[in-house]
Amino acid sequence: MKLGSVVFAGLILAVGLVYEIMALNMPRGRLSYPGPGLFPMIIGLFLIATALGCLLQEILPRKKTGEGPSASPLPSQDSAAPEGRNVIKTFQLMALMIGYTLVLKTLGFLISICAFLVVAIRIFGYRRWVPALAMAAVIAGISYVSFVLWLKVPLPLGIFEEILG
Amino acid sequence: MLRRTGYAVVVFLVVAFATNVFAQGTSAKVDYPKKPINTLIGFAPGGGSDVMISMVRPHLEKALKTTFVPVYKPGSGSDIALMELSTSKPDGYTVVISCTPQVPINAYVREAGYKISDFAFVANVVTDPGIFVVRAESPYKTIADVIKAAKEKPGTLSVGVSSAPGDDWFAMHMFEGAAQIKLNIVPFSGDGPSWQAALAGHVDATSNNLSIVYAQLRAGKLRALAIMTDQRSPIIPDVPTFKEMGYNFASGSSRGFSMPKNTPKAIIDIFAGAVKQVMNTEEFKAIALKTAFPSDYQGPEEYTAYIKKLDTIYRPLWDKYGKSPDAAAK
Amino acid sequence: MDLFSGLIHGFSVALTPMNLLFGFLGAVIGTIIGILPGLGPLGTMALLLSLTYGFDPTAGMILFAGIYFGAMYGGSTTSILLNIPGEAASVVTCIEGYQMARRGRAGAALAVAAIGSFVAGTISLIGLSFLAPTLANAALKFGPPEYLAVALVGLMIMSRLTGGNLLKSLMMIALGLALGTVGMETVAGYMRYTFKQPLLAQGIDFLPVAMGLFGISEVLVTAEEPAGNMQLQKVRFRELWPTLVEWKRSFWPIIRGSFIGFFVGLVPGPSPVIATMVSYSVENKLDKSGEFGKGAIEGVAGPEAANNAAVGGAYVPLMALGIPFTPAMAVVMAVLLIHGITPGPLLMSENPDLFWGVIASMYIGNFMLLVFNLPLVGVFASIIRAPLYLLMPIVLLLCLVGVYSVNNSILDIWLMTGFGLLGYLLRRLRYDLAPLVLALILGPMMERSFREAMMISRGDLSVFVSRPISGTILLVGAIVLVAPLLIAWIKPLISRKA
Repeated sequence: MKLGSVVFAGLILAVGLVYEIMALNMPRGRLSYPGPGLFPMIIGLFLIATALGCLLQEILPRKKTGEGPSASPLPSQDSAAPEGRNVIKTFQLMALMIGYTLVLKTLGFLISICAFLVVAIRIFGYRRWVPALAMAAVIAGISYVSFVLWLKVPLPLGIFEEILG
Repeated sequence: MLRRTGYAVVVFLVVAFATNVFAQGTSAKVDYPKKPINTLIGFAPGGGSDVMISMVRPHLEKALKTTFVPVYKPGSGSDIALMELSTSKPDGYTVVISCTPQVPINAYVREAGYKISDFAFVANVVTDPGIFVVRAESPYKTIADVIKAAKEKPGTLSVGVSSAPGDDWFAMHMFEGAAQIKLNIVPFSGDGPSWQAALAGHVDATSNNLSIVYAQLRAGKLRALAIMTDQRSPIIPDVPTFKEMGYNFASGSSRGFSMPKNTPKAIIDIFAGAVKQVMNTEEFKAIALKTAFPSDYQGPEEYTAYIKKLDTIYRPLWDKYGKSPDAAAK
Repeated sequence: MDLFSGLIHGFSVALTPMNLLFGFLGAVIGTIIGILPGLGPLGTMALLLSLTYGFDPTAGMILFAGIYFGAMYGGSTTSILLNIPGEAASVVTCIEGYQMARRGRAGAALAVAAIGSFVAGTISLIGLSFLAPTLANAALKFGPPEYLAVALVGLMIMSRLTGGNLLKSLMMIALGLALGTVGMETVAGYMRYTFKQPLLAQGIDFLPVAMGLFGISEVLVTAEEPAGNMQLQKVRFRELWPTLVEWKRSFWPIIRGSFIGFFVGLVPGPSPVIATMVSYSVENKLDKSGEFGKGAIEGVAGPEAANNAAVGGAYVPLMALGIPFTPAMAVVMAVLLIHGITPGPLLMSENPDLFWGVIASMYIGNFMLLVFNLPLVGVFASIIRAPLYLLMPIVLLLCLVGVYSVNNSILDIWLMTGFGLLGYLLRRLRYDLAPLVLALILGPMMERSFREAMMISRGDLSVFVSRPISGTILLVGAIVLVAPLLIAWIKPLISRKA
């Protein structure tokens, strides 16, 4: 993961630089009347400094410091053997969420979430279509009644809008 | 098992649909309204818009025989809610709480994503007058004291306002012009933080709205020096107006209902009529007086003209003070 | 009316069957919406506001108090079980709570959270009943310079919160602060980093970020694990309750958390968040078990107590002065307004029935919540026994609906999805997620108070140290930050001599 860390810190450094340039183009005002650009300018410098620090930390050969395994916030996940990971599923799930968001407004909540659930259930390892469809429909129906009818979350109803009003 | 689940789904969905169909069936025979009205609110719950809609909602729901569903789209000085309204269907089932001076001035000062001509102004409900307030322990007893202090040390007397550009912010610039003084105008992130800072003595005074500081005035924690109306307010008749002291400006924040342009006139009239009828009941008037809710009903034509007039008042003020933050500081 | 007769009178108001019913209803509704991520007490109360017009104002206040406290109880459930913080105050609970759940101690974490919340709620109510007028005036002394001092100390605490790599934590803080500047700035309405997207003008809300970074990335990580490991640790029913050792370990953190929460809660703004952070770092410093980061029960007990106590603290300025420091409190205030009562300094003397009735009902509501929540611990803890192919899609559904419900905005779903991916990457690269989210919450408040303080003092930077309260806060913060370094530096010197 070392290469990943270097790339990521470099990426944040680039974000920091762009952020700072944009901040410098905002009116900074004076200390007695700070403008919109003053605070972002400070944050931008902070971001650049820390990202640079992280980058150097990754590149430079380091002596053993405090970052033992116990210092990691989520030790259990990282210690899992990487070769067993199924990275494809992350892409599948991301694509699924993007798809849902894209069709939500046009197809409406009920259809979108139902389709979403069917695919999600399959991604998580359940392979039979008909029960998956049934489960998805039940969950979608329950969530429609509880969120839209009871809790009045104004979810887009799409083509159902005319019928359900 | 599977089949049973299937049946359950069908039954469930049928019930879900049916409850909706019946819910619609019970509405009145008139064309409008026959379903719930979505009410866009451009500020977080608890602000002035929220108080306004809470005050009229129970009564309006009874009069129109429908329900109002509050839809909060907070942020950007209500621009997000206004933008949403501008793209909504003009069928009377989406209304927005339109607040001045954000409507009309936001569309002038920045790229707001909508035009004022995108809206049909239906009815104004409340006009909350501006009021100049200091804390009880403050050495300033009258507006004359304030002006004297501001003239001795220009730019040091700090006055909290809700935001820039907001009604309080404009009002203080108008005051500066009328009294030939220089204040230190401090924009806070809302009228609440502004009066609280004045109460605690972090700023010398606050330019605020009557209904918001009324509880503190009544308890004697804050003191009102002058009100920004044409005539004295019946709610606090002892407080003089700026106009009667020779400073010729008035200010306040109005809140009302607006719909998308091209909404049929019949719908607008039904809605405005209901608002008018509700605000004329004795029950509503009594509560309004007790909570210092400064009712100000204006029908569609009057309200539209009022917004137009405000636009011509505020534009030059923004040009003068608001073009850059630095200009505002001088 | 003095305090005791006031309270006794209050109980006589609150104990009528009608008011008891409203208290119970509020507790149930509050718990449910607290559990559902995204839906908060704010939206629910705004929805029910018009309904309360039909009741007596005391009943309305009791209902809302139940909802508000109930939401705090329920908020920790998803944090512990699914690593999804439903509200800002539960972010810290995720850190240890979710690790406990992974080790099969979900039941213990939930039970300790419930009991900690009850104890803290009671302690803060006692504070509210006896000290409200005094404390409310003290809270007013906090002006913009003090807020900035509090936020700065909060950042210092955050950088060492989970004890990971300091530079990485600092970078996460910087990133969070930068995200907080997106949108229309509040003073002059200037658009920053919106790239001409009007929807970005409202800024980046913390919920899509938190739900993406914690919740969605958790689902992604779980999905990737090889099928055999995919099942979360199962809980056996007799292991549901905390062991005696766990109770003992939780006792002092709960007490400390209660006091921290109550006093920090008096400060306006995101005070429950800061209270949980302070409590967490105190427990982390005092910890001897070495379990922090791997599911230490102290790290659940303390912060959970602190966030509930902060709710009691938040009621102080509202009840004593009529100041709603949070939007939720403003909605509570609106219950009174629609009945023609203006909450303010005169509330206690003009409406003693209401004032004392509400306070008494909070004691009762708090007790009801405990009774209502403890049996639920078993139910919730067994939810994670559901097959993953059912649990994970439902979690995603709750996130997708919950995040939309906050601002009713599809943009927030996009943000959540994006931050889900970012969170996934950050985990793989061993970055702490909590500092980013917490900095995003504190950032806007920091900027606002900095600019207000500068405008009030006309550009004099010395206000931050010359004002007694902010000076003291900064000094304490500096000591807390520097002391461990000093000790680490001095210790070897001494031991070498010895």
